[in-house]
Amino acid sequence: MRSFLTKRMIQTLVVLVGVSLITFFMMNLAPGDPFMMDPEMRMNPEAVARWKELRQLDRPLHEQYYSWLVNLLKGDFGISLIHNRPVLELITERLPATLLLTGTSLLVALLFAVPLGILSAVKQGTFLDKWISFFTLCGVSLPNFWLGMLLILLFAYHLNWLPASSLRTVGVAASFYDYIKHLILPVVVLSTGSAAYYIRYIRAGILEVIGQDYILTARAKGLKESTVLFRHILRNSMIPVVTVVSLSLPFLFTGAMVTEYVFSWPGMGRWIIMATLSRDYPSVLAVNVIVAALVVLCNLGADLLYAYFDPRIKYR
Amino acid sequence: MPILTRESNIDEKRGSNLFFYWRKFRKNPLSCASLVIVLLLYCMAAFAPWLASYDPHKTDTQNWLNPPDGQNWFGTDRLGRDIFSRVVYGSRVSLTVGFISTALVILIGTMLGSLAGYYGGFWDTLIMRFTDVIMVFPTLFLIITLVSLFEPGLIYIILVIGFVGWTSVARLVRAEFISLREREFIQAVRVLGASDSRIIFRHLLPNAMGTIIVAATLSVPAAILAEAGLSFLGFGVPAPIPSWGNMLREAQGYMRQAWWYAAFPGFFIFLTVMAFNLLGEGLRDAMDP
Repeated sequence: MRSFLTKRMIQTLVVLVGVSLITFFMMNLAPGDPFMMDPEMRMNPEAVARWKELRQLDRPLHEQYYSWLVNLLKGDFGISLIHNRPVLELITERLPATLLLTGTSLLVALLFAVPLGILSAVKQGTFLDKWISFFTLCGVSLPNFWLGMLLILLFAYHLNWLPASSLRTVGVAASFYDYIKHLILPVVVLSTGSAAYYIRYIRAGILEVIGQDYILTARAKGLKESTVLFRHILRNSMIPVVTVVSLSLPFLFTGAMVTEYVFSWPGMGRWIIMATLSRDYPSVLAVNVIVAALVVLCNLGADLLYAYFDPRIKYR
Repeated sequence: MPILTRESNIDEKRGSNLFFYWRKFRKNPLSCASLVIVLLLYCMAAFAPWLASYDPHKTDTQNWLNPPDGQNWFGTDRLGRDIFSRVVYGSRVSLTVGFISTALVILIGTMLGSLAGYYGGFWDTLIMRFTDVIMVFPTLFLIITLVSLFEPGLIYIILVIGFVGWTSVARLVRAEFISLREREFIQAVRVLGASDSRIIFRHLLPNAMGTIIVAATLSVPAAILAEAGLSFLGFGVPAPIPSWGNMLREAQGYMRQAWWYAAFPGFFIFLTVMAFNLLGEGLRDAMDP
């Protein structure tokens, strides 16, 4: 177990360094500068030079990378070139709104996906299974921005039931009911796609378990169907569920970019897009490294949970 | 030459396999329907100038945001352009992106996957760690970052989507190669003195073809959705060229007045993506025992 962990830690480090290297050099080697957006700066080469000196952008790339890395290890993500404020501060300002949206969507998606996935696998080949499969196929094929637009069209513009954008009504005291009303449409959009994906994954996982010899044995020794289902099939089917959840956790962070854009949600989405467009290196680097770290950590977590759900899995 | 007769036998068998797959594929009505829709979409793209009732760029300031009627089947947009004609021409962008990006995805993925799977050891570690690095990036974010480095243009979008999407194909091909390379028939060929390249191209790749074809079909919808998303966010195909994604982008400001502006281009994205997904699944069911 310990040697497995050490090996995985080294792997994790290699991947993280790779991600930061690629992002850093990709953004720096590209033509264009962060201040190209600002016409006043573009006019004045002296100001540009001074601006670069101030932020130590005139030093060689490898030195810049090194100092960025050292600061990162101290927990300092640098200062945004556009907003002139610490990147960490910008992220913590926007993260709650994004997490509210993506977290709720994840819960809603799982609430539908787990029972429906189990149902369609257990009733494989029936009318019900075929309908569930058809709807999940529609779900994964729907472009989420189009679904968002259609829902806005119907529920916000024609029926006037729900608001079309933002986190809460401006100029009205914040209330729980108001937040819920604003959450419904974006949550529906985000969870439709992911629920469809989860259902397919869970269904496939369970079908694999159902085909195993030990299920045949369990039935052959005369266990009740409910015992077979709950004790043998479902427990072994937890692995695909764990995989799916752990793989989608990192995207709580950035996964809603397009949906946030459609619903003018005040989260990370629009900020990330703008930061990329304006070559705000520190912000883009920070987001990339944070997401990469989350992905790798969640993968590790999933591996460890497998061993918990399936004692046959041992790591060496 | 006994070896030659052996191989011609294999070829014959492969031909009958194709026939067998086709018979299995044909039995599923949904798969057949998806094949027909995909072919129709390609015809639409190929014969766009004959199908479109108007010039997709022709503006008509008298008739902007007209609802669908006998003349403009899908209505007109904010500049009075015929939405049906723009949707027809837009299929060219989506299908080109889907086709060429997928070709790139398959080329890169198969190359790296077979290298890693066949040689193992150092190459395997190097290639798979690189794959891991690309996989942990949030895909759309990586695509946006890369696209924003170039001037706007269809060719860069195709290249970027292709260069970002190959990771899962590489993994699939690697796994397939690892399981195949230890089989007896490969060992037999090796004993007969076949070179590495002959083993890879003549024996391993043909056997991995089913997996690759299915992966290719299923990566078309991903590429189409990526292009539509990019164009919708404003990073995609530059404005005068009609693409389903940038039509939706334009429609955003006119949702209240003109439902048809957003409805039709989006429906065609949905239809295309769904058809390719169904086709890929039909192929997988037919080729997987």
